[in-house]
Amino acid sequence: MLIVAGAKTYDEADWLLAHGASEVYCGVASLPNHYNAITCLKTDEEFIRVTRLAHKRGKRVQLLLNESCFEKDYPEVVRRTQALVKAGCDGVVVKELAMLHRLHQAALRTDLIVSSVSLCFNSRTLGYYKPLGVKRVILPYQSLPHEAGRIINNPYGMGTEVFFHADFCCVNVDPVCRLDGWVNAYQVCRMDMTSGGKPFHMAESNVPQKLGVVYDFYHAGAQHLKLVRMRNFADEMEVLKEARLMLALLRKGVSRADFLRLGEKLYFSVSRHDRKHGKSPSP
Amino acid sequence: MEKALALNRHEWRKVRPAAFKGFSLLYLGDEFCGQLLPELADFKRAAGIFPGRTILLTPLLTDPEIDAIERIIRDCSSPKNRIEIVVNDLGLLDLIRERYAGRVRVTLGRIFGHWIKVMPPVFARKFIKTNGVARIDIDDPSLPGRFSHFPGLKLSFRSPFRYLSATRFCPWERHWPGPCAASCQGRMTQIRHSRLPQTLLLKGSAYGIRNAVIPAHPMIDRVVMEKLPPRGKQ
Repeated sequence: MLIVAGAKTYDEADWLLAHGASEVYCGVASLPNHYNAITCLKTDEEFIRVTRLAHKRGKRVQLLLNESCFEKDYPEVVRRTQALVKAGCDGVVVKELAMLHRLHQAALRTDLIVSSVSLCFNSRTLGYYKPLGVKRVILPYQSLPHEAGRIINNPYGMGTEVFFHADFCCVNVDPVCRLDGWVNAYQVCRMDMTSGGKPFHMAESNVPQKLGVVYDFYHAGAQHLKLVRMRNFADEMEVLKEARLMLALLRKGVSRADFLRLGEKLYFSVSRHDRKHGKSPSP
Repeated sequence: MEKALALNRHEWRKVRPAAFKGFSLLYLGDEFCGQLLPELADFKRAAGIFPGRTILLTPLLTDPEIDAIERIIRDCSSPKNRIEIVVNDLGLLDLIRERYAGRVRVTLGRIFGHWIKVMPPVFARKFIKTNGVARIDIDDPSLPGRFSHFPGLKLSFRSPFRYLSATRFCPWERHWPGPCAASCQGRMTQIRHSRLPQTLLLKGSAYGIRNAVIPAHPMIDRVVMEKLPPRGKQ
């Protein structure tokens, strides 16, 4: 399993590629992107510099086009994407069907990758993507290993990428969730709410459930492990270190029970997890 | 205006025929949880008992769930007896287009409707035509105008629950999809926070709000009603 990590700047990409990421993925400001501009590289030139850096190290770079945009902007988006592909971009992550069709028609010499926010939960959907030249699909973070066997072992030769620790993502199915737009706030799903006068938090999986998903996806044959772009890069650095150690455990062939036991200790080595669960820092 | 009653598998198994009064259509299934889909026997029974037409309501789907729906299509439809399916999953939509276009009438569900809304209009018109989409379900009163450039398309309005979010991690039993004790049935949680514009409701695996007012719009010719558990039953 190879690590694919999100970078917001050239320096972040440099650090991630030097510390175990096989690929980095980046949005570029003003290209359609699921997150806002602060999580993106600032210019196309910065993306090209990241591409050169990655290739010098024998690694790869993905460009994010994982949001919808107005039809009038399509020609410009396709033109800039073509230029970035020509400069070496190895893969383009796409959400919208219309954009996927446009990029396929443009015959880009790069891998088209279906975004997790396209919500592919079954192998039948891959049949739609196959004629469009899709090479990889990123499974939604609420897709589960026991349901994804036919996607991972698909007959089309498409690779699969799965999330590591979705607790840096939203709690609910993204982009089915419209709460942030309704309240005009970020991650409403994580607010401290009440119900019947008692504290209420939207339900999400606990630590053993999260770790079990990682273990099972590894053994199901998913090829790529995705680390989300985090607003605080210090969090992402810790998560990358944790992911490398967890992959080392998996490659060593530890049992599921041992993975959950050891993995839980590693999980709480990430300070954000420690804070969230109210645990005291490890000695 | 057509009136439809929406029931999930468990509600269907308990419902009394008196509840059908005033409804010419039955939406059977769920848009957010695969555990609430009807089995083949439920769908066949509904087609026999319900006095009007039964429509299959489906969420985002896993492979085994698509297999189960394909069994319903094979057993319960024919070119002379087309069934209507509310589709929220691209894989199911593509399956219908490829193998069952002559046996299935396609309505897009609330999740898929939001994707159509943001598609470039020319692409969206072709997509709707290619996939035989005749109708879209909505629950947001501000949305009808967004679909007005699709000639011949009809809209259904879902009420009184407007969804705002959904999860596949069961909020009632706190596990990923798997063996289900139907703990959500007959229950609804009311959620508050000072920043929420109104009380948020948790029903099944969806969060949403009440939308009691049905907008008047020439494209809306069907209302789909569901029963909400009584206030306070949490």
